[in-house]
Amino acid sequence: MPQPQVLTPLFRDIFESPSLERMLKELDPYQFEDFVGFVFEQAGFAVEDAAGQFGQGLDLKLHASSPDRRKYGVSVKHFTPPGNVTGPQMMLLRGALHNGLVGVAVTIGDYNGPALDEALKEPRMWALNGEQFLRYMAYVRGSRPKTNPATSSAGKHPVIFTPAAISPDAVIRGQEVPFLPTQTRKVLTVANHKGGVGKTTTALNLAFGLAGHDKQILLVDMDAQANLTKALPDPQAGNTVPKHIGQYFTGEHTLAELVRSTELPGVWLIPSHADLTTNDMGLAAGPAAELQFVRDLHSLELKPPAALGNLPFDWIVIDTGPWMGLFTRSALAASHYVIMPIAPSVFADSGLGHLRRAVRTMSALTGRDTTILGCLVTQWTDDKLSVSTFAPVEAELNLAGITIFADRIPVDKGNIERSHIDTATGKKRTLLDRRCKSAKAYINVIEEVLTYVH
Amino acid sequence: MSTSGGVRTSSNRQTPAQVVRQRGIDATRQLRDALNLPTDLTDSAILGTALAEVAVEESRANPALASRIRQRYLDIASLRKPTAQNGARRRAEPLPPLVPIRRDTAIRDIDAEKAPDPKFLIYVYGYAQLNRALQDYTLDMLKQTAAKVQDEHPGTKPRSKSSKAAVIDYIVEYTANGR
Repeated sequence: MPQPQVLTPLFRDIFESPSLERMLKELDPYQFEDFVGFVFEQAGFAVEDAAGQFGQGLDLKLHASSPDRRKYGVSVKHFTPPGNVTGPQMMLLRGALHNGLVGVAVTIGDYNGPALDEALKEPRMWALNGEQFLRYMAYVRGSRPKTNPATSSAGKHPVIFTPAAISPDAVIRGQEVPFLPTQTRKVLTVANHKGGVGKTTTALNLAFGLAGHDKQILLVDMDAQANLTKALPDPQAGNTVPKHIGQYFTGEHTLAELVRSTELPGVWLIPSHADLTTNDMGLAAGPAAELQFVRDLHSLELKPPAALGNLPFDWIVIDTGPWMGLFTRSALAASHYVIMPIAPSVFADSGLGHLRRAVRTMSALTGRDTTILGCLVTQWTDDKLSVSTFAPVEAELNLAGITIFADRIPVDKGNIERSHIDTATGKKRTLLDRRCKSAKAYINVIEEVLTYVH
Repeated sequence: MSTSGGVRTSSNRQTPAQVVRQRGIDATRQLRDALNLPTDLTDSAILGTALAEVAVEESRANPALASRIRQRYLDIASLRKPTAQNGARRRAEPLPPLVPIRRDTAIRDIDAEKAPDPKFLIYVYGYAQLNRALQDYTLDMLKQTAAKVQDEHPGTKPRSKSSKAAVIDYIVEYTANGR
């Protein structure tokens, strides 16, 4: 839908920093309708002005590109909260849904009971209130490439890749996905967009330490480097072909079928494999794949094999790779908590913004706040270079209110070297040596984690 | 230090650690002779243990012996203790932790190699902690910040560009006072 050029900068600004108040105060009802069209364009739809085409029920028509070729009819209501969309208004939308159109109502306010009843009568109809529309924008912002209208419409080059449009119902489906309460199961992801900061070592030490508190721990290796898997060899491996998490995403196995024991009591593993690189569909997988992972990870059916204990998992600790593809996004969507290891180096800053944006994006999808438990400083040497490199990151973390764990994981050269050797050779012994100084620091970190989450 | 025939030789002057070590060797040799121990008995750890056990037994009945051992121990220990006078570097006192005065959830991109921005540090930590916040940066980074302050305040400069304290004082004075 062609936007009034003069409004595009305002629309873009509100899209980047939206609030209900801004949409109410800075946009009149007609401009809000155009703005909703602008948002759906950012989500990947071709938007058509439908006013007058289908009676009073529709304002916009959305055309999705391949593979989702559904068409959506949108009704836009610029209502000031606590103003509600009513039943008769939703009936008008229902009445306008011809030829397989999926109905979407968007309002800044909310819907009254009869309006929601109308929406429930029609499975092809979705009603987004103001808060849900804000979440939809947040998810779209973190999931779609930013396009520059000046170059994207020039047609100088053939289109190489068109990511699928993001359905307006994604955020409603997201909040309907069951999430186990933390009293039942805690899901923690170790993530940083930057590599080599100690994500795998942190995940392993956390799992080992938590198991020491008589907990059942499931480690999920979602890094194609599979170092966690190599560090925890399968004690019952014979000549069987190892299963891995990628086979869950390709539909070959359920998560429960992938759980295997390790040599560490109380620690279980869903392994990874180098093939994971070819399983990562990135952002193209869309919210449906991400939400399916959330649903399955929060299922009580996910437990150790019956023959080996069958106790439920208290904690799930997920190790991620150094990129924000399908696996890391899915892990973040499923997590109650996130720990971000960060090493003081000249590129220490590079992962922080990416991770915070990704956490916000995935929280917007599920409608649940994922807590960044803190930033764990690893490979710390306590010298001037470490302090000066970390200072600007520390200022940013302080300003954002992100906790920095009191214990910094020191460079433990012997331990690190041994760890690498053991990781490569599949030994667990020295990685988890409680006597080394980094292991002692990890034990304190676990105490800090438990103090917070209990 | 002198050189002879391309081989580096050490001077006669011994370090405190070397003095302590030599005294230990001499005392062990004399004790071994006094006790008529075999000459091939060189395990000073076993000798030290035997000596310590007897010293404990004797000290209970002889406070003067206990006092002498204690005094000798402190004398020898003082030899190894580095002092400011003998050039040993003392470890700097840890700086107090920084306490942010604001919360801001906006996500900004950070450049860890960039010189510190004193206005941003005041925003995060407040004027009172600016000096402390700048302490975390290297002198080279601080000099880059000072150069920007100088551009904004022609005719001014730090007392010394080789002193971190002087550069920080300069930045604090011309930023915090809003001059």
